[in-house]
Amino acid sequence: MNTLAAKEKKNASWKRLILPMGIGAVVGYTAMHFGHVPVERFLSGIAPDHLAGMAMGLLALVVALGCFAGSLFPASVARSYGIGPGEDVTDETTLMRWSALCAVFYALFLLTLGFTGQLTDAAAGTFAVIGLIGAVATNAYLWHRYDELWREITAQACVITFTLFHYVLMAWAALAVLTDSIGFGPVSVLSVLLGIFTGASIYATAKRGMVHMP
Amino acid sequence: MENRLKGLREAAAWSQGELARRLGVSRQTINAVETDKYDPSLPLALRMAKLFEVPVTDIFIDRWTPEDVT
Repeated sequence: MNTLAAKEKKNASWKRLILPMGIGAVVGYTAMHFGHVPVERFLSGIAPDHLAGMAMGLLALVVALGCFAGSLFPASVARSYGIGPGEDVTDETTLMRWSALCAVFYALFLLTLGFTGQLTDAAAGTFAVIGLIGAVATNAYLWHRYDELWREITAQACVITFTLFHYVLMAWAALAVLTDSIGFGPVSVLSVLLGIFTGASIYATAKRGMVHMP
Repeated sequence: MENRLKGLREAAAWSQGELARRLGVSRQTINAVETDKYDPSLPLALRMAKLFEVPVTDIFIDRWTPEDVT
């Protein structure tokens, strides 16, 4: 494929990705506006620190839904991956479902922290513990099931995350010592860590040709 | 690192999934190796060589040559 054709294909792929996102944003905003969904009132009692956690929690929910939907429709996943004739992703559906479950536990944990004002202490504590234990257990199981490629991808994502995240911690430490106004709380720090890890994971999988634009 | 895994697999009339099952790895691993996006571990490379009954150097091509340091 020549350079021009490759560039056109890349542009077309991005357009196909951005168009549904744009339509989704417009439809979502319109539905909230005309459906009188009280978003501002709903979010007014939540600390900014926890909003970041909730955003990551919602992202985890989207990931969970995507993984679970992919496990239900392996043929569609195979088509979108553009894998060769005679190939399928049926063998990968089990890992997709476990990944979805793992993401659900992260979502439960992060959203519980965001909604502590709306929950009783006992309920919030219970949900947070279930989310934490579930995340640990599913991560351990996934690591056990991974083959060497997936373990290398996970290890590389962890290395990138550590490298970038320690710069965040350095900035945090400097701000804590040099100023009185610290904008970070533990949930913000956790959200930044998970955000960096998500980006690093996408990079590590894309580097091995495993991320395909629709 | 370049390799001839795809040619060997196709000569055996196996899909990526079939080869993956025989080697005990995921289909993505086979795909990543075939497309030069991932260099397998030494144990996996040796298993590939055993499976296709060829030397490892017939599957993986390393163009490095030692410099004469004398």
